[in-house]
Amino acid sequence: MMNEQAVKGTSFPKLRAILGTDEFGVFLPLVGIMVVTTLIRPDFLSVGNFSAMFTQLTFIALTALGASFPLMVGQVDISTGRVAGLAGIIMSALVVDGGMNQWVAILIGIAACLVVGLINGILVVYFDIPDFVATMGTLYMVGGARYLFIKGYQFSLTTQEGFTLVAVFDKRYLGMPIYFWLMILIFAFVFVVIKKTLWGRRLLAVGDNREVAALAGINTNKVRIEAYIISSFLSAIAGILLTLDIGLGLPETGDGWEFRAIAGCVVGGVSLAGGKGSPLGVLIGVSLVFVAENAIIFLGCPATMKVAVQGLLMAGAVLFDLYRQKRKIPA
Amino acid sequence: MNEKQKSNKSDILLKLFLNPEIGIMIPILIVCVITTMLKPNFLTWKYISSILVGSVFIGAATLGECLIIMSGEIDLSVGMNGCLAGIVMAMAASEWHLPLIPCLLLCLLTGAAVGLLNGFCVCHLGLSSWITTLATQFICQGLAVTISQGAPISIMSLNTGEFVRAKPLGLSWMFFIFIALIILLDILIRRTRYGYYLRSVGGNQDASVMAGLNAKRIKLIAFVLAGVFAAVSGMFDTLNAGAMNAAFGGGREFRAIICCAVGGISMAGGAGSSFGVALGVLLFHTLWYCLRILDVNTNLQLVLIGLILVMSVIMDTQRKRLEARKMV
Repeated sequence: MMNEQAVKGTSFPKLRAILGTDEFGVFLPLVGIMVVTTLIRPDFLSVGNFSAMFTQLTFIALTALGASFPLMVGQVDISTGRVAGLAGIIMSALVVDGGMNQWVAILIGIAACLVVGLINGILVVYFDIPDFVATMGTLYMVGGARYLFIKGYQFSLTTQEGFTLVAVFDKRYLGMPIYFWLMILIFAFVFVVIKKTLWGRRLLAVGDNREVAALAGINTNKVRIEAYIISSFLSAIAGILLTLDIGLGLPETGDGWEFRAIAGCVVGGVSLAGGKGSPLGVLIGVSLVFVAENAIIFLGCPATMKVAVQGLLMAGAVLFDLYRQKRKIPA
Repeated sequence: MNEKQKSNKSDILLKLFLNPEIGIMIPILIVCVITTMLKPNFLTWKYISSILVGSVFIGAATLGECLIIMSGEIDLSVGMNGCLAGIVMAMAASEWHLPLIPCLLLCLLTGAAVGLLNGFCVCHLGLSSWITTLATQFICQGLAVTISQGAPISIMSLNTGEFVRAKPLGLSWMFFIFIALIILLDILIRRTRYGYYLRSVGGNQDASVMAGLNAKRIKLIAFVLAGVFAAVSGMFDTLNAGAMNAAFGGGREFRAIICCAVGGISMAGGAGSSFGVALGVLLFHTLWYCLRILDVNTNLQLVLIGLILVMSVIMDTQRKRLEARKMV
């Protein structure tokens, strides 16, 4: 890490610095898959295919960005997908059923998810429950709670009076819907926070070695709880964006997102051991998962193998990460 | 004098609380009592036998899961591994027209192979267990759906209908196989050297490696055994339904982990017993069954299950703290 920065500081071999980053390591296979698939099936590289792929990707990418925070501090959060669903259903229930102002409803939806994140953090940090099991508990609780809001009719936001956001979400700006640009904005913001602020450094320090971080005077418990809260926050935004996009509050929103999000993180170079990861890597990682899934369908594999490819990608990515870590240690 | 008696009494209560097996009996009883109060005919053999018979499917998978958790790892592939094994068994019967015994062996072999893959990745490549088994879960799921084309595959040619319908002692043969597996596992965990090593690796891997144990091999064997147990649960599914569908077994890994947590298997590894797990399965299944009898909203059931998981793990950590305090 220090070495890379030193290289960057001289600003002379800038290209080598870029080539040496973890993000570039993920970028290479992404380009590789695209080139190979395009060579075999040229229509893969059409604008329509790509814009469809990247509009779908927005929601998982935001969830993955959320999930990357606990991973960076060396924990895991598998409740993210259901939390996204919870935010969406609360928001639409309040608007359609309670006739609430759209913005207030969105805020309440997000606030409910922040509470879930706080519970996750407390269970893991203060009750000392293994992270996987604790967030599995909230996965079940939140997963069931989503359905308790439904009333036997659809929460259709499009017919709702005073609800202007759905119309905004249908429009396209520069060829992409508004939530895509919003996602890019959030990623850019988080990138700056992680790479340039003290808080971001602390986060990674806690993930890298908790004892050393505590000795250096960092309140590690607080940082870990914050990571869980941010994870729920970003997932909630993903869930609300999806609900606004389809204009319908569905309780099953977010099912299975958590593992695709984690797969995206892992492929994107977020180390499961903690202490390493970047938003740019996560974005590229999620893109890689989506492009690979899309590519195998173009290459004529049965669509049912999609999940299997995701599994293989994930295992491959973690193996690669381990290999890289081993190589770095002696240096 | 009086005070001494009092402290004796609280000592006994503490001991009961510290014993995980007895700790689970209490909630089982509470659930049964509440259900009986709301639905008086609950305590009849019809309901009890159907709870016992119905618990074998999740139970077999849980037995494998508990070995893995005892060794300090986690296995997320048990559900889909069992599903894939069941699909392979059904394919062997319907497409390759094999007789019963080779079909069953193929089923177990598939499970063992997936377990071996898990174990190899975790022990020899050094991948973390949950990401490995998550990956194999995806792979198994993809393979199962692709092989079966999403349609149920019948095992009519094996003529297992009589075996499944038979009711020895009012239960099913599968239930007795399950009991036998529990006893076998108990012997393995408590009476063999391997079981002792497994628990010590789970309790403190570094210390046991320094003491000269081959932790890698011990864990690898645990993963293979878990794969076999998962295959048994898939086999039960296939036999029971007379066909296998790739939709079976989804989410079973989570339920198996919950059963282990409820059954006193410490999530940190190193502690637990096979009877505790059996009771955990019984509690989980009884609860699930009672909630269904009482017509509790399905989604509220999920919320309750999550709550129970968290509560039981909190109980476990509190139990450990109490134990540690007593030692001091």
